[in-house]
Amino acid sequence: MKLRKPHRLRVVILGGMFCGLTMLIAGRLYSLQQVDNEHYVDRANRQHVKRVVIQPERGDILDRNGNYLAQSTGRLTLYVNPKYFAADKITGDYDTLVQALARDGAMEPSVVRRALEGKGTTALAKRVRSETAKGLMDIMDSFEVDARGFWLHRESMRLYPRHLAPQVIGYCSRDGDGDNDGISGLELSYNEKLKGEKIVGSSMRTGISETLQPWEQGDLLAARGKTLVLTIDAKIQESVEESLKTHVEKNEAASGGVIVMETNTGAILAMASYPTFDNNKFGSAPPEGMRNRNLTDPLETGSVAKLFTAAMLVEEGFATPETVVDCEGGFAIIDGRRVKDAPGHVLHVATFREVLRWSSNVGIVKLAQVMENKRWYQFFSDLSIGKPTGIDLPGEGSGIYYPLERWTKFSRTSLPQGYEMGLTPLQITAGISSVVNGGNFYQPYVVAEIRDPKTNTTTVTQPKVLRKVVRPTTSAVLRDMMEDIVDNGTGQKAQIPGYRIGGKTGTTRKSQIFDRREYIASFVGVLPIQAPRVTIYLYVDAPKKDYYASQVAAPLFNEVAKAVTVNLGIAPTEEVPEPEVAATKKSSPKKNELDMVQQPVGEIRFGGMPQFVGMTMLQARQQLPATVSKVKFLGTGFVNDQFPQAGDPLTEQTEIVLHFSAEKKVAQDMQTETSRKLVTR
Amino acid sequence: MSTAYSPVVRERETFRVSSTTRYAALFRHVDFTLLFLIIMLALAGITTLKGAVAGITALEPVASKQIAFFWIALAALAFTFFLDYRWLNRAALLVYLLNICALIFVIAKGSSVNGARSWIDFGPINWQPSETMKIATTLVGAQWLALHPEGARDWRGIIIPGVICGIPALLVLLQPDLGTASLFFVLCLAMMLIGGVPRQRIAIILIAALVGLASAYPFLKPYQKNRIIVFMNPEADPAGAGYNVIQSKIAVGSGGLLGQGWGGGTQSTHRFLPEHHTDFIFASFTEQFGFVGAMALLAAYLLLVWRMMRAIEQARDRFGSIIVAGLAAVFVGHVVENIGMTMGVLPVTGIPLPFLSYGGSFLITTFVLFGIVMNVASRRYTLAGP
Repeated sequence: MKLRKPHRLRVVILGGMFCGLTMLIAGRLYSLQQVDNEHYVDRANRQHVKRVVIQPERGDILDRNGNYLAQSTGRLTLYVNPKYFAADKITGDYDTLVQALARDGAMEPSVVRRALEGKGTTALAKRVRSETAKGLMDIMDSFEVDARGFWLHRESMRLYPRHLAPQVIGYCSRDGDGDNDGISGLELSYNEKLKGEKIVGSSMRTGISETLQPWEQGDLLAARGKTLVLTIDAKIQESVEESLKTHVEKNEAASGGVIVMETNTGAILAMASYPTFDNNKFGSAPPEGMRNRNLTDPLETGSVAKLFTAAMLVEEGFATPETVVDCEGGFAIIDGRRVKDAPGHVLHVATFREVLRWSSNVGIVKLAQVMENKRWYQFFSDLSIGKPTGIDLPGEGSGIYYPLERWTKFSRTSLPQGYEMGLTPLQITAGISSVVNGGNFYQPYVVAEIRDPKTNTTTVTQPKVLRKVVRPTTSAVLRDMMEDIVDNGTGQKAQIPGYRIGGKTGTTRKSQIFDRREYIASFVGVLPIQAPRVTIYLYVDAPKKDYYASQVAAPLFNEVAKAVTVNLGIAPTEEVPEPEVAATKKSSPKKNELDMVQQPVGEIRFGGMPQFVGMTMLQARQQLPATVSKVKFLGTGFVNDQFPQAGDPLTEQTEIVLHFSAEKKVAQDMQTETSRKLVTR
Repeated sequence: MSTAYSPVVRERETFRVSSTTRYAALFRHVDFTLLFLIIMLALAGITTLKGAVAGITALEPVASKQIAFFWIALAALAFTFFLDYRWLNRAALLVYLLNICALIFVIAKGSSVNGARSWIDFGPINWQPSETMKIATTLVGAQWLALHPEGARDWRGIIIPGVICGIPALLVLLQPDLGTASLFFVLCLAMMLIGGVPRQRIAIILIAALVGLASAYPFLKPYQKNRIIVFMNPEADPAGAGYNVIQSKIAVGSGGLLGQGWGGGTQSTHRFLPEHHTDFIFASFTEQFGFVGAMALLAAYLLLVWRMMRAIEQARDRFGSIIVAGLAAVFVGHVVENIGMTMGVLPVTGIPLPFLSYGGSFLITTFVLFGIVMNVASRRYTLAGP
C-alpha cells in the first residue's frame, strides 16, 4: 500500500474554505457592530433602561419671618420583592425574620407574610418614619436579604403646622408616590416651583423582569423643591383670623373677610376669610370654607367705593374737599332715580368733605354727575375694577363692572355710591392703596421670595407698579378726607388712640336678595394715614343684629389695626413727622354749613359758573354765589338750561339766566357739544 | 481490529531508538504556537465567562468551575498528546462502536436538556456521547481513508466515509440535534478532501446537499417551516422563537467598536441574553470586547486553523493528515455554526463555541481534539514518538 501525502492544493482548498467562512463571519460582524451599531445600542437601551423619576420633597412655605406655614415631612415607604425573601435565599429562619419585621414595623405578622409571600413587588411598610424604615432594613440586612429585594421610596406628607391662611396656602393631593400636586391656593399656583425639578434617573431592568436597585437613596433623600417665603406675617394673620371669627360669630354673620396689604408695595400681610377650614384635613372640610372669598367673591362695594368716586373727582379737578353740594336732606331724585342717604346724620348743603364724612349718597351722586362717561369708565378700570389684579394666587375673579356700552342711565347714579358694580375685597384693597399711596397701583402679591435649595439662590419678588392712577396731590387730598371720616364721621369707632387713621365705612344692602334685608358691612382703613404703610380692608357679610359698618366693621378694623401696629412696630402718630398732609389740614379748618353757603365766587371751582342743570329752584338759589347780583329765573321745575354754561368764566357783573322746566335734565349732557347745541336751539 | 494492516505499525518496527531520544525529539517538535494559542484562548474564555456572569449570583460559580475544568482539560490534552496517534487507530473502532451504543442509549433513556436527549447522567459527571463521537468518527474515517487510498478514488471513497459519518449523524438527528448532525457532514467532506476523494465528487455532494435541503422545504411540517421562517426573520416572533436570536443580535450589535468593557455587557448581566454563558457566549464576548475583540478572537481561531493546515501538510502519514483535517472541520464547524447562530445567519442549533462556552465536557473534548492535533504535528519526523 502506497502512502502518499495529501496534495498541497487540497490543503489550500480546505484552509481557504475555512478562511472564507471566517471572513464571512467577520463581514457580518462588521455589519452588525459597525454599520448597525446605533440601531442595536438603541434597542438595548430601550429594553435595559427603565426611566426612574424621583420627585423631590415638596418645598416648604414660610411666612415673612421664617415661620413654617406648610412643610413636608419625609415619610418613607419600604418596598419588597418577595423573590428575595424565599426561605432558601436568606440566612436564618424565615419565621424569625417575619416576627422581627412585624415587631419593628408594628405590623401584624400576617401582613408581613402577605407582603413577603406575594407575587410581585409590594409595599411592606407604608409612610413610616425614616427610623422605622431604617430599622426594618437593618433587620433585612442581618438576615442577609439580597440588596435588590428591598428599597425605599419617599412619600411626601404635607403638613400645615400653624393652620393659618388655609385659603391662601391651599392644599395638595396625596398621591401614593409622593408626587403631590397642589390643588388650591399657593400650592396650586406655585406647584411647579414647590415640587421642584424631577430627577430623572435611569435604573436597569433585567431580562427576567427584575428591576435593579432603582436609584441612589442619597439623591432621593436630599432632593427638595423650592421654598416659598410669603409676604404674610403669621402673627398678624393669626390675630386677624381670630378677630374675624369672633366678629363674624358675634354678629351672626354668614361670612367675612380681611385683607391686610402693604400700601406701598402690594404685599399681602394677612388674608383671611371666614368660614374657614383645616387644610390638614381638607378631605372632610366644608366646601364653603375652602374658597378664598377675598379673591373670588365680588361684593356690592357700597360706600367704600365713594372713595374711588372722590378720587376721580379730585383727580379730574371737579371737586375739592370744600366743593359744596346740596344733599337735600338726604333724599333726592337724580336723573329719575331716587337717591337716599342712610338715616342718621342729615345733610343739606355740605362740602365734599362732609359728604364723605357722613357718606352721603345724594352728595356723591350729585357731584359725580359732572363726569364724562368715557373718562369715568377709564378711571375705574385703571383702579382694576372689573379686571383681576394679577395676584399670584389662583382663582382670582374679575368682579363685576359693566363695559361702557352696557351702562344705563342709572349707571351714573349707581356707580358713585358703589352699586352696579361688584369688587372683590382684593380689588378694593389694592384700589384704595393706590389712591392713598400717591397713585401707584401695585400688583398685589403673597410670595416674597423663592429659595432654591439646589442652587442656594433666592429670587426676591420686586413690587410692581401696574399703573399710575392719580397724582400725588390727589392722593394727599384723599388721605385728608379719609382721616376726617375716622376722626369725625362714620368711621369713629375705628379710631386707635395715638394713631392717625384714614378710612371709609361701607354698608351695602344686597340688591340681589329681595325677600330679606341683608347687608354687607365693610370698612377700609389706612394707617398711619399721613404716611401710609398698611391698607386694611374687611367686610362682614349678612350680619344679623347691627348691620351698619360703623357698628360691625369698624370695631373689627380696630382690632385688626391694633394687631398690625403691634406686629409691624408702627409707632403712634405723635412721633411721626407729618409733611404735606398736615399742612393741607391746617389750611382747611372745619367749617359749618353756613360758612359753606357764603363762599366767595372766586372759590367756586372750574373757573366760574356752577352746574345748575337738574336743580330745583331752591337748590339753585342756594348754589348761587352770594356776590352775583343779576339772576333771572325763567319757568318752573328743574333747571333745564343755564347761561353761562357750567364752568364758563363768572364775574360779579355776569348776568345769570336759569331756565326751568318740569322735566329734569341730566347735567352731564350739558357738557357735550351736541347737547349744548340742542339746548341753544 | 485492523492493527495487522496498519502502515503505521510497520514503520514503527523499522525504526527503533531509545525512548529518551524519542521523547526528546517529541518535545523538540511540539507545536508551541498551537499550545500557546490554546491556553491563551482557554484563559480568554474563562475571563469572558467571568465577565458574562458578573452580577448574576446564581451563575457566578461557573467561572471557578470552568477553571477546574481547564486543569482537567489540560491533563487530557497532555494524555492524548503522549499517546502516539498511530496507536489510536487500534482503539478507534472500539471507541466508535461504544459511542454508537451510547448514542442509541441516549435517544432511548438519556437526560433531556433543552428538549434534546443528549446526555448520559453519571451522577456528578455527565457525558454527552455526541461530543466524543466526533473524535471517534474522525479516527475511524481517517483510518479507512488512509488505508485505502485507491478506494478513496472510486465509489467506495464516498460510500464508506459516508456510512461512517452517516450513522452517528442520523443518531444525533434523532436526539434531535441538527447542529451536531451537520458537523458530521462537514467532517466527512473534509476527510474526503484530504483523503483523496476526487474534488468534483465532493463539490457535487456539497451542491446536492444544498439543493436537497432547499427542495425538502415544501415537505416540511408546519412547525418546522415556522422555525425556518423565524430563522429568516426573528422579528416575526420576538417573544417566542425569535427571542434568543434578537437578544443575541442586540448584544453583538450594541458592542460597537470596543465593547462595554469586561463584565459590562448589559445584555448578559441583565439576563436578556439567554444561555449567555454557554451557547450565546460569543454575543456576550462581543458585547464586552466589541468588534476589536471579536476580530482578535477570529484571528486567534484562524491561527489555529493555520497551525492545523500546517499539521495536515507536514504530518508524517496520510492517517495523521486526515485526522487533523477532520478535527479541523469539527473545530471550524463549531466556530462557524456557533457564531453564525449568534449573529442570526444560521439557525439556532446549540453548538457551543470552542474555548469560550461554559461546559466541562466540551472544554475537555476541545482540548483532547487539539491534543490529537499536536500529537500528529509533533510526530511529523520519523524518529519522533514513543
